Amino acid sequence: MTVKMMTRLVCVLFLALVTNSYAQSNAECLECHSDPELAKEPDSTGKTISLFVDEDLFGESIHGGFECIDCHSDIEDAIHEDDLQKVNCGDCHDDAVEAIAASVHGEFANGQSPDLPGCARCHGTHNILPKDDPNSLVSRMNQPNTCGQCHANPEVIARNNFAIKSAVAMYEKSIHGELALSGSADAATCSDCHGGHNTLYPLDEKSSIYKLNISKTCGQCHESEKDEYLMSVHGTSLLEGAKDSPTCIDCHGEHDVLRPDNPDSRTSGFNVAVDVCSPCHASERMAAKYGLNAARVKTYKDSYHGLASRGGKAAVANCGSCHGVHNILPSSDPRSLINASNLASTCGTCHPNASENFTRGKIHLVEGENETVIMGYVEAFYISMIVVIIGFMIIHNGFDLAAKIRHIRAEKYHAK
Amino acid sequence: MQSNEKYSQAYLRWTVNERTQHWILAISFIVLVFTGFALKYPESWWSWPFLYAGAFDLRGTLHRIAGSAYLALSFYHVWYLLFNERGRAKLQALKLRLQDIFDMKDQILHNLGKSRTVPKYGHFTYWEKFEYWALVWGTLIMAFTGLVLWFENISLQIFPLWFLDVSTVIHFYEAILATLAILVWHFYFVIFNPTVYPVNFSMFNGYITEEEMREEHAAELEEFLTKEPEQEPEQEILTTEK
Repeated sequence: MTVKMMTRLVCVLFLALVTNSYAQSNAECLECHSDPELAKEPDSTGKTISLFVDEDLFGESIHGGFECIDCHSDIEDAIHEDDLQKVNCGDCHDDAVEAIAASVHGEFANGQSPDLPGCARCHGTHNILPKDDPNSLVSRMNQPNTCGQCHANPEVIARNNFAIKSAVAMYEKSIHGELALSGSADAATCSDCHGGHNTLYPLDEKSSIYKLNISKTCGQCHESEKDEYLMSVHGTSLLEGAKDSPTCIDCHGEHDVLRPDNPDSRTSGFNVAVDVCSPCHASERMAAKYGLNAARVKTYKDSYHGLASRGGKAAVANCGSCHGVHNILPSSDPRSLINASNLASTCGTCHPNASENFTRGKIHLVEGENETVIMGYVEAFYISMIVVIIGFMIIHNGFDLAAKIRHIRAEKYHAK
Repeated sequence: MQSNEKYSQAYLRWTVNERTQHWILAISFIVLVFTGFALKYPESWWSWPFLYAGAFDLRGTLHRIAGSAYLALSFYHVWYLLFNERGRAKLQALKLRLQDIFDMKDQILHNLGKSRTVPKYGHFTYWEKFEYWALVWGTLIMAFTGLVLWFENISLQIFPLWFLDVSTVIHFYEAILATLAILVWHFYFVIFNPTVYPVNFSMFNGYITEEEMREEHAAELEEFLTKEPEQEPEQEILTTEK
């Protein structure tokens, strides 16, 4: 039994003792509140608030054993004032209330937005169920809908200027969403990445989605990938302060993450060069900053591997086939898949009997690099040959055609 | 089609065998060009047939089938030139001679209006000979670089990697050269040339008209008209009267 549970139990026992002495039973409350039409007078905005309590739902809820007045603690008599205080969940759930106050949602409580998700917005009211219950508003399967009340609501999104406009829609189409919504208990849902009460802005160093914490967040489930990533050039560079270095989501996306074997995924073999690697490795800015060659990606795209991949051939090398995926390392590192000592086995994945000779040359070189010199000559030779030969053909045939046309005209003229 | 009257004075230029060779070459060439450039320009509109799921593998397969057909034809053609009576005569007629250069000079001068006389051509004109030998040269280059790239796992045991890169470059530019040569040179002489327009039918029915003989093979026509009528024609001469 955890400390948290202990506190809660003490709390409940205490309330039970105290409230029993007032002796106002649920049955008394339900004499009025079981009427489905019982409602408050419309407020200034014209909204009616129902005062109906579904006894069955409440009975099934996690708080079903409580008295009404345990939570509605300002009620002293069966006939009570119209305006009651809001239920203070923090009387028992003080840790949750503290966490939410420190969270991104807590900020909204400081009067910055009318869209503060109070406890009830996410957990419900009389119908609160344990989060493991599939019917709970905060169950894994229901979180997208529950968070979506605000995060998929165009008005709330516009009012609060949310940067990500369709997080929930993207999530529902993602592999996480697809699995979670089909009932998988393992697939990540909102709170797995963002936290529950303690959701923080991504720039907050304590946030689970702070750039440096992302690998840890994803690693909760994808542990071996996290470990490989952390020893890769991308992982070590990021931790050493190269903020441009990618973490999980920079390649996989966030809410819209798809399996790499899904052809629509940006990490699929068809798309990885363009959608994943190019944004950095074909960027002049990155190339200048980190001493890369921005033309490198193009040399892949123009190679047989690249061309066939662009055409839709599935069994052809993409960036990851040779460089690795999470475990990308510079070729100088003996652990790198493209280290000279590993090339035979890396190329050998597709090219059986790849010998030492196979791996001696350099692949996808940028024009001007050593081994491309001969190719430059061949190219120049052919281009000049094409210009000269085809040029000669056009001129030669042009004269021939002109002469024949002249001849035909002359014949017609004489025939007249 | 040409009139019957014209056919009454027609000469057999290509046998069924030779025409079959030509059309196997033509079809495999077109397939090679299409499937080849579809790899080099996968995003172009005309490579749409290969953009359906899995169809790009078909592109490669078609390219190799057409290449194999072309290669097989080439071997047969060499055999035909060496071991077939008619083939040997064709090869003789295809021999490049210094006269071909003079013929070209004279033809150009004539076309420029500098000279009234037109060269008298034999069975093959200089433009046919040049095209034939250019085709042979192109075939050798394309076949070699093509095979190097097709059997990359074997060639990479023998050659360094840059050799395959150079082969790729050559295969591409030679393909451009060959395609343009067919479009500009071949299609002019067999289609757009007013002498044969709308097309030189000899590659369909085997026959060439007397008018075409006069225009493009005057020397051969003279030779034919002066020869002994009882002579057995098929063995000695490439063009025979219908």
